[in-house]
Formats: sequence, C-alpha cells, structure tokens
Amino acid sequence: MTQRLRRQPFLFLVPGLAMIMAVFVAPFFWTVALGFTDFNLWGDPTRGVAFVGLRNFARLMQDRDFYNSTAVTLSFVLLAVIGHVTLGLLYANLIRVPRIRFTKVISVSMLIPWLTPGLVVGYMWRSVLNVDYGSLNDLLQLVGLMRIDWLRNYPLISILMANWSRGMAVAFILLSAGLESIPSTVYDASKIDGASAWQTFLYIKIPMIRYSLLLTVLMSTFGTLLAFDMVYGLTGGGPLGRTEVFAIYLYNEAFGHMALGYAGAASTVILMLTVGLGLIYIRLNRVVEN
Amino acid sequence: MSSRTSTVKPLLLRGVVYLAFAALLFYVFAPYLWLIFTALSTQANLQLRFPVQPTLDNIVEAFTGQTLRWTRNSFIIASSTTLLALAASVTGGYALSRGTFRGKTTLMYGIILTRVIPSTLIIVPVFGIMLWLGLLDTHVGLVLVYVGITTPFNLWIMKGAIDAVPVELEEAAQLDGASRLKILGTVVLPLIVPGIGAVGVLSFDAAWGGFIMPLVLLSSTDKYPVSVGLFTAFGLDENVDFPKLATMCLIYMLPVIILYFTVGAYFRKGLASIGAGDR
Repeated sequence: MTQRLRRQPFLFLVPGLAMIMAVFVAPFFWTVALGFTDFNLWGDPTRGVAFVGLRNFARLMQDRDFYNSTAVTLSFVLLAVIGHVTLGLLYANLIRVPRIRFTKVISVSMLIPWLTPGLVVGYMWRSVLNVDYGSLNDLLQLVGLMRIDWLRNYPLISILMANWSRGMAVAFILLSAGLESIPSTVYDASKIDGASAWQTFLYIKIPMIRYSLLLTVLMSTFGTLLAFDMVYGLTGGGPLGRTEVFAIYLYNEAFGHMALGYAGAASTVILMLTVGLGLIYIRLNRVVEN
Repeated sequence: MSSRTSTVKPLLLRGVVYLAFAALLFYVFAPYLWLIFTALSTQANLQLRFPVQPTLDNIVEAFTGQTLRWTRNSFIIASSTTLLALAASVTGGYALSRGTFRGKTTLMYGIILTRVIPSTLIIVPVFGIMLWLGLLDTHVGLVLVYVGITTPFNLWIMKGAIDAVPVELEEAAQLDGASRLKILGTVVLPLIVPGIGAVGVLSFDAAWGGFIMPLVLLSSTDKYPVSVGLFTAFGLDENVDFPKLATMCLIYMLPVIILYFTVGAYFRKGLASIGAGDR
C-alpha cells in the first residue's frame, strides 16, 4: 500500500517532465550538437549530415554579420536597461509623492503596454516614427523643428523608443513594490536628521531597494537580450542590419539561409554569452547581500 | 506667512508630478490612439487623424474570410495549450508537492533552470524535432511546443498552490478508499482554483501572443494564428490597407488584455509571482 502511494505521484510527473525534456533539454543538447555539423535545408535531401568539427565556429569568428549583431544587441540591451531603470525609478518615486490622486489607475494602466504583443508595438511605432506621416514628426514640426527619418537614420533609437515605453512598466511595478516595503519610520528618522530629498533617495532608498533594483536589471536584461517580435515588426532588422539583434540574426541564418548547422553554432556561442551574463548577476547578488 | 509657503510648495510639487505623469501617459499611449482611430476609419494612412465619420465596417469585415480563420486558429491553439498545460501542471505539481522521492530538490531547480534558456535559442532544434516527428505545419506540434515552454513555470505555481492544501483532508478521503486520482479531482482541485486561474491565464497568453514559434513551424496560410497572419499580410510595406492592419492588431491584442483585467483580476495572488518572460 505505502509502496503504491509512493510510486503513483511520481507517475503524475511524467507528462510534464516529458514535455520539458522534449522542448528544452533535448533541443538544448541538439543545438550544441548541430553546431558541429553542416546540416542545412537546401540542396539534396538524400545527402546525409556530415560532422565538420569546429568549422562552423571558425567561420563564425570571421563573420562580420555576427560581430555586427553582437554589437547591436549589446548596445540595445545596455541602453534599454538604463532606460527601464531610470524611468521606472523616477516614476516609482513620483507616484509616492503625498496626496497624488489616480495612483491606482496609473499603476493599472501601466500594465497595458506590457500586455500588448511585441508585433503590435512594432507596428504602432512604425506609424509614430514614419517620416512623412508619423505623429512624432508632426509634433516636431509643430514646435518648429525638422522632420526626421527615424527608421532610416536612427534605427537603434527607434527600437529603443518603442522598447522603453513597455519595458519601463515592469521596472515601475517592481521598483514601486520595493519602495513600498520601506517602513515609514525610516523616512521619519531621516527627516529628523535633516536629510534632503536627494540625500534620502541616494543614501536611504537606493540601498534599501537594492534587491528590487537588481531583479529589475536582471528581468530587463534577459527580456531584451533575445527579443524578436517588436524589432521584427518595427524594422525587420534593417536598414542594412543596423537593428539585427541576436534573435533576428539567428532567424535569418537558420530560416533565411537555411543553414541550421551554422545557426546551431551561433546559438551555442550566444548561449554561452547568456550564461556568462547570468553568472555576473549571481556574483552581483552576492555582493549586494554583503 | 510660513503656513503659506508650506501649502504652496507641495501644490507646486504636485503640479510637476501630474505633468510628469501626463507626459509619460502621452508617450506610452499615443501610439494606441493611432491604432484605434485607424481601425475606425475607412481610409487612413500612417497619420494620426481623428475619424470624423467613424465606422465599424473594418471590425465587421474582420469577422469574415481569412481574418476570422486566423482568429479561430489562435483560439484553438491557445485553448488547447491551456487545457494540456493545466493537466500537466496539476498532476505534476501534485507529485512535486506530495511525493517524497530522491533528488526532488535537484529536480525542482533543474525545472526552473530550463526557463533561463530563451525560446529563440531552441527554435532550430525544435524545428528539427517537429520535422522528425512529422508534426511540422500542424497545430498539434505547435501546441506541444507551447505546453513544453509554459510547463516549468506552471509546475512551480501549482506546487505552491497544492502545498497550501492540508494533507489531512486527503488522508480522510483516503480512509474512505478513494484513489489518488479521485482525491486529486474531488478534494484538491476545488481548493486550488486561484493557482489554476493563474496557470490558465499565463498559458493562454503565451500561446495567443506567440509569434516566432508559429512563424517557423507553420507554413500553410490556412493554419496561421493571428500573429503570423498579421505579419504575412502586411509585412514591412509602406503601402498597405492600414485600417485593416489596425483592426487586426486590435483583434490580436485585446483578448489578452481583457483576460488579465477580468479573469486575471480574480487570480492576482497567483499572478503576483509572474516573471516577465521574453516577449
């Protein structure tokens, strides 16, 4: 009887675990293995897949597009995270100014951009940034400035503008929760000590919300590092690869050039980069704890 | 005198704060205005223009032909994903909560670790696996992938929900001779409704909103969900039927938003533990 009871719950796990195995674990190893082959989707399908050693990796190290994509992705992620944290921190503080009304409505409505599919965000911002008709340019013209062809001349700023508008919502929610958890007695004490608002912010609030801050940085880093939908809908990776972030680069290699083996090698390298970033955060977390 | 400065200053501060929020809301929501205005006009381009003669023609038209089919596909994909994800996570979460077996803690961390792997990085082998299984270009294949993607996090939510149910309740039912599955269905299930709601909303959202998976796995136009349909119909062209595009964008985004603000509101607690995934 007890034997049966022990075994049964484990059987309950089988469907879930099988799914995880099929979608994450097997593909993970498969990606790494693919990187060592010349598997592709064009040419003679009867021709087998050959082991090519490190050839894909050697080619990758000389691939201009890959370096371009790395530079684009890293600058996109860095500027995106800075934008999310700055805006999130600013507005999480502003909403706590005493006797401000509509705080509930504002907080709840901040969820909407976060819930909007990336593709839709991309399409919406294409209208805003359009050189001939876009409302941002209409606004610039209204105050006497020149119209700007954002998508052609400033593609990185374009995807950042769209990205900040939804990414800051997450930062705002997390950091608001962090600020809320600071007991009011702490503020009273700093007021008695005669600290200015700026001093309170820098020496009391920031250290006390360091966990929320780190979590925010982590979430927005990994949320933007392999973003695809919004960028694809806004610029498609162009013009001339200037917004070809990792996800779009991989998609183009795998399903544009049909070079699955090569894309596997690129995925492996990007995965190592991701893991490296993850390790840095674990390290930072330890520093924050002490 | 001093009482006057102390009332004027906060007033000024509040004015500045309201202005700052007005600027933010304008920045964030102005693009939505274009979407709504354009969907209500017959002829429009990329310009933000108030619809002088608003019409519902675009929305009515969207409920015929291909858009209707794509919407139906999205519903089929998202609801099948939700049902299967629920089945896998209720049973799996139960085993993780009640089961005592070796390596359980390791397994738990292993499960959540898979979430670190972004779906973009596994798209190539997932394509390969579906090719091998003969499930390319089928809704079944796509649904299985979504169930797999959502399961790790769902298992954690469900384990947490079931942990909160007292074991004594189950022991009472066990004395009456009920089987495990029956206990799970009649005793545990009614007590974990918030967890079920959270898993349901998250899984539906993941499958409804997904773009890159169906873009890669599906090839027949008839099988597309709204996301891929939207992109293939309009792409990145400058001269398209913008009212149609805006209408499809609304059809694509509204179900998720409605779900969160209606059903989701009941499950705030379960949803409080959401990690923002890569979208």
